[in-house]
Amino acid sequence: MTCAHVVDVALKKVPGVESVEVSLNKGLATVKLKPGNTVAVPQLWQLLHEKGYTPKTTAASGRGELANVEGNLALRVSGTKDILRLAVDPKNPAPFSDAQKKLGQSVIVHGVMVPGKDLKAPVPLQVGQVL
Amino acid sequence: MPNRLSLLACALMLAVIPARAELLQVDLSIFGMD
Repeated sequence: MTCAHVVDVALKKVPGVESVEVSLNKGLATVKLKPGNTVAVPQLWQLLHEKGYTPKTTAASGRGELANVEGNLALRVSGTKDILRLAVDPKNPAPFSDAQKKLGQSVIVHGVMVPGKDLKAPVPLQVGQVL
Repeated sequence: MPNRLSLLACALMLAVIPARAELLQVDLSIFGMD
């Protein structure tokens, strides 16, 4: 059994995962998620860690409504209280400012998430693009 | 009193359940093992 296969099988077992594509050349596992899923990136990091991999900066896309939650910009899933905190990408602050101007709008946010020391702890999505 | 207990139970559940949003796609780096 190859390492790629181990990762592929483990990720596909996570409820809410639609498909997994592992590329050894790129060193990347692309995980597509089902609508209405409740998957969190730290959950996937923890899984990779259990399989012997060190989670690194992760690109992610999320859909929802831009909202101000306790003074912080967040992506809220319409009709629910579920939120994904958003943060400035220090290398590219413009998209975060763009997002602040779109409060209340339904958008798709592309960005990156950086794992902390505690892999289980929720981390914000650093905004890279707002669609 | 039962209503207050129900409210307290709901408040505790909301505090304990982690906040999550709907993710569409995640690209995980799997280059290299520990």
